[in-house]
Amino acid sequence: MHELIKVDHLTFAYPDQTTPVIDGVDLVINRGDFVVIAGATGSGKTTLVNHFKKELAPNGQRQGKVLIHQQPISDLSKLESAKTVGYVGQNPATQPIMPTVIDELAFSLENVGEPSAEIERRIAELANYLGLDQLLHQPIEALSGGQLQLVNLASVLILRPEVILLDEPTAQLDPLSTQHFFEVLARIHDELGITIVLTEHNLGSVLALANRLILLQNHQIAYDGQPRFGLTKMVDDSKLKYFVPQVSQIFLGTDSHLDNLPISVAEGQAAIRDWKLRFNGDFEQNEQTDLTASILTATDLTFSFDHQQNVIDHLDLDLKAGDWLSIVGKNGSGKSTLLSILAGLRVPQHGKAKYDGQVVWKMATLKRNQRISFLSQTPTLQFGASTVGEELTRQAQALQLDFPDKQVKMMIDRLNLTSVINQSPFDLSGGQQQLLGVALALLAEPDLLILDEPTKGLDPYTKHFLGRLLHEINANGTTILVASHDMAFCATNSKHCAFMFDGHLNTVLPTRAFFADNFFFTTPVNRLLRNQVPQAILPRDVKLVSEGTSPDVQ
Amino acid sequence: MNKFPIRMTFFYQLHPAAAAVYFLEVIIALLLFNHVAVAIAGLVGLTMTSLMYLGKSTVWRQFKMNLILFITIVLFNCLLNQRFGPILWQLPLGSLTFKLTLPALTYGIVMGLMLVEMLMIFNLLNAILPANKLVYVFSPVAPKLGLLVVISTNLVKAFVRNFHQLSMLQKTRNVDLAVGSVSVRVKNGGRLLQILLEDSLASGMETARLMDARGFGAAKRTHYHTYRWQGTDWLYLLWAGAIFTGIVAARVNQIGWSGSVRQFTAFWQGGDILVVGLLSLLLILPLLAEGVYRLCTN
Repeated sequence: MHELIKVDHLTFAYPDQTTPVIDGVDLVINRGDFVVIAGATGSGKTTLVNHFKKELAPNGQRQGKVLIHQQPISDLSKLESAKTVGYVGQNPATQPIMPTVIDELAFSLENVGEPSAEIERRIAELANYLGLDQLLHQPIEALSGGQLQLVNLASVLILRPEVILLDEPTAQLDPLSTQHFFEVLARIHDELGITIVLTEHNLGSVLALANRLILLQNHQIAYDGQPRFGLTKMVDDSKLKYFVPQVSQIFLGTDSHLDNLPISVAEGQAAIRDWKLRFNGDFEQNEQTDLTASILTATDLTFSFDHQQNVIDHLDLDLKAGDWLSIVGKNGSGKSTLLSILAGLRVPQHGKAKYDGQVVWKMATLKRNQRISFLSQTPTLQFGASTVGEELTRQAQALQLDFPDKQVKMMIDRLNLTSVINQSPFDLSGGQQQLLGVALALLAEPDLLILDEPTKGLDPYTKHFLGRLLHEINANGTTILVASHDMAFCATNSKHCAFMFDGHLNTVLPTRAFFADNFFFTTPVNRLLRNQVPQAILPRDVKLVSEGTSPDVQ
Repeated sequence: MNKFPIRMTFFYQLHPAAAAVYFLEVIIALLLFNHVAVAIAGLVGLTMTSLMYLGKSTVWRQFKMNLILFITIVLFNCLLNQRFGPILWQLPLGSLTFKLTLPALTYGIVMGLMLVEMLMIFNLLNAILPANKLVYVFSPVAPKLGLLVVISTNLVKAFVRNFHQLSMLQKTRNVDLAVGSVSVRVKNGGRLLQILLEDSLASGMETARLMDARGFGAAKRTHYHTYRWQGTDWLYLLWAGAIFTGIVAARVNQIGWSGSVRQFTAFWQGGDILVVGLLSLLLILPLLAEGVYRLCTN
């Protein structure tokens, strides 16, 4: 294998921090590798990847070297760097700079001084290869999150780099857009031989494509090798076990075949056939929820941004007190708009949403905030103080809580925010900002908690932690309404689920019935075991009843 | 009149440089004359072209806003301009007498119409030559400025979008711009602006880093020629140029122009017919070209 990137004893600490984020990392990435870097939030994944691109290398104390083609990365000229290493970030909206797709693609080539005819040739070729030709003259703001991230990838790929770095590129995409994005990435890797280095929390979608898994733990590389063996190592760790894809979890529960551990649904189905495995359901058939009183009713809601097309179209909803309803749907289907209306923040053109008999957007702001809490999918727009502690104190005062200091302290402890209490909310990692947003929403001890993409940017362990916390709150009587792309989170925690489509909510169903009846928007476990246990949606829902023998072993 | 998909029209597909020259000629032509008949012809021509390219609802929305401006200008002219005659109506107010004179009314109408026409032509320009096309026109002259304009336009758009989002979401923090005394609202507005600046700065820094990562500043920038110059661009420019030359010649001969408010006593003056004809032709030239373009469809 030809060595492309070499990391030699890299140690890095951010300014004013005594503990290094990366500690003595040695690593070689070969040409043609598809590397997935996994690890909990704060384990140093992004910092490590940023060191592979000269322009992104963070400021701080650094020891050790990063070489590309045996040349120190700092010695690469800006032009060489742009043509050798591409980078796609987490937030699709941050990268574009030009008004239309074609201008955005041309931007990279104009930067490196390509002549106009060459720019046109490359755009024509790439747009057709990636299927972007129909979008070329679309304004950037008209694209969905999935399309935008593809354009970001294309604007990097057009420079024909040798390696593309991607930092959680699908964190803000819906499941189908995520799947499409990874399919494109696999094509780029397989057909063009471009090296891919990717950080990702959702290993189920991507690990089957990778030939290497690098596991970061305690600021060091805890594992570097074949993904399947990495998973068997992760399952023994109290935090990393939550990273293991659901399909693999099913097979890790069995005793054998760990050397051929399936990761994707297709691999899992093949393994079930080859190894003649039989599973039975291990869950209660009638998981009834006893909910009668309504807490929020919406009738005939209609909302349009441009007065030409309704985003919300004659929508009705009856949310019962004590329920946990999750709304799923594609990017741009109107989930966030609906939640903001139900939280009283936006007024629809028609219809009413009533909480406790009052129209929500007519309630006095303070009274509404004391009873209904809302977490947006961009929590930074709900912040405003200079430190995390001050942020929570301000909110406690605004809500006129009885014991603000005590309640703020409790919330900080509950959300594990002690270590960042004096940091600016705007400087926190995406996951920590999300937790601070949840803390602000929970301070009011609301009757109704409305959360828009609460798991965005969270690693699987933190997601599990948040799910448990919200479960407790729900069990204590708070009604929860969530919009999410995270099928596993919804399947694990919700009592009911609904699909947002064409401006309204498709039938609200109990969670198990909802996912069992879905074909695309469902969990990997349901896709895998649909034939044997149609109602199974989570790894805990099944148990192995008979294990055959692998043809390889016979 | 139904709105055509603007991207499919001849006018939109015109080379940005040709369209820019045409708009420059129209703006100059509208400013060259101050007779009522010419101003009305300008309004009619622009309304027809706007209906075609902006659609009925946009033109109607503009009309409502422009009407207020128009009335304000006419009123102020009538109030401030008390000289000359004939007097149409007068009202004694103590020691003073308010006189509504025909020259003041006529001159006010012309000024009001000219301002409305400027607003209309800039609205049309904005639709036919959006920021990216304008930048394309000026990029060969000042490439860095061109890019800066594009980036700034996008940032301002994002800033406005974020401000709406922010003012909505900060209600969850008891910060509501629509509630409270003036001082409370001003204080809340300031707070929102501070958050917005902080957030915009952070995302702006990230965008700058990603521009850098895509080689911005690595080499002398080239420019992608998105638009190709066609024979029809020459043809359109020639026609517009010929009409514009006629208009300038008319103005040089003092047709359609009065040097003093005293002379604004008639809605129609000798020689106006020539200017009305030429200006109307220039303003509806896109419509005529559109017709020819469609006639040439196979």
